[in-house]
Amino acid sequence: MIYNFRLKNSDLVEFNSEHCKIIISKNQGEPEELTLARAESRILELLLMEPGAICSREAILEFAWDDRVVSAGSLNQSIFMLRNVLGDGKDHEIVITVPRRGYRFNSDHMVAPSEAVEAPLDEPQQASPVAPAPSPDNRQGIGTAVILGYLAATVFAVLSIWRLVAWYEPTRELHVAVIKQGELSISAVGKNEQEVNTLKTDISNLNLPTENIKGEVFISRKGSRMNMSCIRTTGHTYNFEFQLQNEQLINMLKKCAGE
Amino acid sequence: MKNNRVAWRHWLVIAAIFLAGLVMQLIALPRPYINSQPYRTEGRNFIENEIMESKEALTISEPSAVISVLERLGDKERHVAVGASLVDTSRWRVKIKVEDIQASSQTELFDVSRHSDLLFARQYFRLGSILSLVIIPTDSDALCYYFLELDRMRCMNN
Repeated sequence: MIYNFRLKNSDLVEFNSEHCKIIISKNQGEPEELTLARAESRILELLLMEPGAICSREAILEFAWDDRVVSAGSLNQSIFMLRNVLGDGKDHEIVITVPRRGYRFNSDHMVAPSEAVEAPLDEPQQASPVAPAPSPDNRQGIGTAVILGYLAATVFAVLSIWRLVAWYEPTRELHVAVIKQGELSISAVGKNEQEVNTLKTDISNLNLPTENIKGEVFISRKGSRMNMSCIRTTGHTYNFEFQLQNEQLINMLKKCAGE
Repeated sequence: MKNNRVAWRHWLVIAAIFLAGLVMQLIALPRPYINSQPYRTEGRNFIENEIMESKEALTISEPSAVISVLERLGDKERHVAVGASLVDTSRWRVKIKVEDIQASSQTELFDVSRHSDLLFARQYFRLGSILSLVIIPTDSDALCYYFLELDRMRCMNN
């Protein structure tokens, strides 16, 4: 990968990360070619993958030395050497130290592609793209693509969970209050919680002789009209609608549940 | 390379999340009814001194549903079949849209002038109307539901 940037004295630098080489095109005189040590080259490559972004010391150690265990001193030494090569040994303006966080490459020194083409260099490669899109996987193990991947996966997972939650979400428009009397279960059903509780109280006050009545009974009341649905012990169902003034609830209950 | 391995671990986690989401999407959610199973019931509507007997059937065959009602009052009979499409289904609710109504007679069996409340409840069965059946939990295989718009409750067995 080819990266272009300028030194503090405006000399144009072409860095070939593959060959660990930098070519410094001076304003006056012949271009100067230098070969970097592998670790320095890797550090520079990592910093140039995303100019301006902070690379932690751990990420640099991991990237520059792969699996080898090296001391922090090795990193300091490599940074020192790299800065010297780039003429940045004094004020650390190109490779900037971010206290307690790591290092970053000063993006102000990057060269736009057009600028690199126009620069007075003889090398044909100078038109190569500047600061090419970093391979996120190669930086700190987590990059833009991975973050986007996590985001997409999270959104997908949230939608999937929401589908389940919405599926099982109990309805708020209907209220049920259950009275258990032996083998008989009576449920007051209605759209209004207060009405349902009143109906439940009314049913409880009836003192139903339930010893011979079994099954499930659901009762709803709309005005003076009652709706009674029953599931008999046989599994058969019956539904009664009646006017409470005309019929007695206990009689209807016996008929519906099948005494 | 070590950081490549780190990246792969991230992608594996992402793939696992996607897979879990996919499983949740594909999982067959339990319906409150058995698809294509005819549910039937019988009923009595006590109208003063008269009793209107009825037989009702409900069959939900996704994405449609049919409700049939056969009413008998004395020697008069009336049959109504309502065809509907399923608008929305969840564990505790089924929403249907009335698409078709076939009635053997346009006249109700009961005296509509004296039992207007009964008549008005039936007015909801109009083409295009959307009705919500809220499922009532039971201890058996029966399907019990409450028509929110009609204030009508039914329990049906298969």
